[in-house]
Amino acid sequence: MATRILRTLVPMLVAVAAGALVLVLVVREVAPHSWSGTAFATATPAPPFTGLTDDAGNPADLAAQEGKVVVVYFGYTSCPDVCPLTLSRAARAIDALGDRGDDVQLYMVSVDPARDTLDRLGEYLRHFDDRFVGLGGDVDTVADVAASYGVFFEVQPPDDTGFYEVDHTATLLGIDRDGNLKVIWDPDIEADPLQSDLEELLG
Amino acid sequence: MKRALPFMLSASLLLVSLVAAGCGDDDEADGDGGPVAVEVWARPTAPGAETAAFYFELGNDGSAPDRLIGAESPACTSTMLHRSSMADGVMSMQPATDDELTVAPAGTVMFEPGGLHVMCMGLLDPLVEGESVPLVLTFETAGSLTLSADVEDR
Ligand SMILES: [Cu+2]
Repeated sequence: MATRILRTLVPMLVAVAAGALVLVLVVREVAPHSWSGTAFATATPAPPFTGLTDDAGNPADLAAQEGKVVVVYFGYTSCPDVCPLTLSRAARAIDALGDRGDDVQLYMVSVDPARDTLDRLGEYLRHFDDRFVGLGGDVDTVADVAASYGVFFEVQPPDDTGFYEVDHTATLLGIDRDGNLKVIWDPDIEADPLQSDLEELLG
Repeated sequence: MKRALPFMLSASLLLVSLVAAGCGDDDEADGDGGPVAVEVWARPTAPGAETAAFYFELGNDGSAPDRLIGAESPACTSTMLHRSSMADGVMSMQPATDDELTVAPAGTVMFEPGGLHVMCMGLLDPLVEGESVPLVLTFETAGSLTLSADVEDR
């Protein structure tokens, strides 16, 4: 009888103890800042914007942004639904940072070079926030930079009016002040949690 | 007295919902028991933008299911009934299925960012915050519903 009780009791206690240990470890890990995006465990230098041009016509230079938090997004101006959602929430999050928002630079790299002229990119991005900057380049250049960020895009076949969509990875990528890729946010991240993560990046 | 409380509570809840329905939007259907649409809106668009999207909440006051089969707006050269979807972080859009576009009696179908939307192609003029744009939804059985979409940033 006693051994039977022990046989069930001991594994149960072990399981409870193991569960408690895991909980303690998880809580300790998360305690400093609970990221709403997916944070990188190790510091990964953000790939450069090789060959891209900003919407003012100057060569894009990610290294020159060191000291700022940089948010990179791959999208296009003819994207009707998700890009405006993500950009408008990002604008709201950055706006909520007040003056500190000046230390956050958002770039949208166009995955639709055929339609997105630099002028159009600039107009589009400033519609959301006058600090947002568009980056353009030819398809191969954009494809290289996208690949270096693990971003995929694919131009879809046009409909009968000639309109086409571009499937694309729509996550936001967060780079810390030291130029390390630090966190990835889902396209439907809400403004508040994004703001909180940006505050953590700003330090 | 004690028994009156639940009654008063439900009566006031009813009142609240009536008031909410009454002063909600002027976007409701002509109200003879078919599909209805509320919270009709679109995001303001950037200068030169070629596309936009309309969102709303479909309901059905009728006793039979009905299906949204098309949409039109004077702001758009053409429209499509679309769904956005995400797989491994990659966003793409597909035509909405008949199933997704069918609203059951007393059911709701949400058209919202990142999901179902009326996609507006060949946008003729930018959608300006604070203005409103006509939107006509056409249903298989009930025919057309003329709505007004509020242009606002949400
Ligand atoms: Cu669409």
